[in-house]
Amino acid sequence: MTNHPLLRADHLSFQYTPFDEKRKVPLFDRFSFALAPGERVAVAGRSGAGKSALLRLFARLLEPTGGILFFRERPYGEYFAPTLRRQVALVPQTPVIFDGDGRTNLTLHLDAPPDDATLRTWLDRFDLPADLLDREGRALSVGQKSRLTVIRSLLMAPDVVLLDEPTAGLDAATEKIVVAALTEESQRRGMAMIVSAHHLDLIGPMVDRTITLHPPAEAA
Amino acid sequence: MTLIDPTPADLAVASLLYGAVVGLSLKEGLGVEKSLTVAALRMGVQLFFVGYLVRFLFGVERWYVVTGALFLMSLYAARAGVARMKRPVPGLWGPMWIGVFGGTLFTTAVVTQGVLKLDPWYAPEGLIPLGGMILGNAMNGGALAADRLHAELKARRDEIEALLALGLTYPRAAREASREAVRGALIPTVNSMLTVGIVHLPGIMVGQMLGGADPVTAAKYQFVIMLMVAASVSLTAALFVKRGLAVYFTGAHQLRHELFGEK
Repeated sequence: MTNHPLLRADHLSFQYTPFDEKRKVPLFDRFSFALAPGERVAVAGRSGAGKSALLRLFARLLEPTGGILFFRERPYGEYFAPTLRRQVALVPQTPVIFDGDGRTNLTLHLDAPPDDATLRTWLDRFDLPADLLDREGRALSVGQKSRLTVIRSLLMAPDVVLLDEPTAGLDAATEKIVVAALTEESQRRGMAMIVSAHHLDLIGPMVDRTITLHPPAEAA
Repeated sequence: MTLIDPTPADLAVASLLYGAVVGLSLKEGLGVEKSLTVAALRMGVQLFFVGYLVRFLFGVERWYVVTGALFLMSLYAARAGVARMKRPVPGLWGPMWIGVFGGTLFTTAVVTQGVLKLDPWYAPEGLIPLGGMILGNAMNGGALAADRLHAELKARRDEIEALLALGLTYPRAAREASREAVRGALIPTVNSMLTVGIVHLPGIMVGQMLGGADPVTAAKYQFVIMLMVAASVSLTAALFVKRGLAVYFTGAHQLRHELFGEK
């Protein structure tokens, strides 16, 4: 591990203008943050506090209205956004499943997809059945879909994975398995993680630290 | 049969049709008699204006006057194509013009030079009505594609953002939406190709027969025209979607959610 942060937000501000409205809604104001390589951080806060927006800013799906984001100490603007997103991989809160079987859903974004044996190992680590590869993705349960989207992002071997409420819609037993599999992957590859969560019962013990966001009204 | 040139009295008889529509509107309380009157007056003025204007253009045998007139018409068509969207999106004017102009240029060139072999190549009595008709269809195709693209991108925004998050570029992430937009623009054209002659006789064919043309000759012309419409609509839709898609994304391959009415 080096002393340089992997990901850094420098005085990050974000406000958005609702359509057809003049007013701006501030979500962050000069928010600074640094993530070390391999570090695991939880983002806590109530609904509307901006957890999802923060993760989407880190994935460069949103553009900050102020401040700069750095990856490996280079400003985001210097990267080709699609390339950056393969290294800073976001798993959205709502699992998105595409037409096609499980295999297609896991590998549609990869230039060199892994073989089925490798994919089955991944499925097993997340307690998913091996025959899921040949099953229609849209027919899976919510919990299966959400685990599928986590694996899909991990297959890019990102340096950081951003997980937006990864255990939403999972039962307690499955939640434990997902947390364990993520921790294992993080330790094995030195992958850093930022995880947003409503409640920290299970996420709490797996992370190195927690930051808490406050809704704009409270922060003011 | 000789060419029938309607007299003012004939036109007055035709106006009785309009009277019937207004009568129906009044009787049934449809409340459309005012907008109908405005529309009918506008239509009359526009048609006579264009009749005299084209008669004038037919007299001016200059290639730059003929092409210049078509060029101006393409600017207007692009504007009208964007204005017709249910929710106009700023920045789509340029892509719409590229689509309308490109789709019209190619199709008009093939039909007037390859099929009809106009002599001289800019012969206004061929180029102006054909070019105008192709432009009109291109505009319809472009407007349909624009509405469909907007709706598809809006409906698929979670899917598109998920694909962007997986490191895909925006044209790849929005590929399905683009395809649907072009497909949607072509549906009316395909439908009219299937029913032409059975369910309806196109206006131009009727016009030609009234003008004294042999019905089979009129059918041949209609055949060319239908293909021409299909070509201009699909080319315009494809060109527009390719360019217009960029308006919905930033340089950093971010979907501009604000265009859909939310963050």
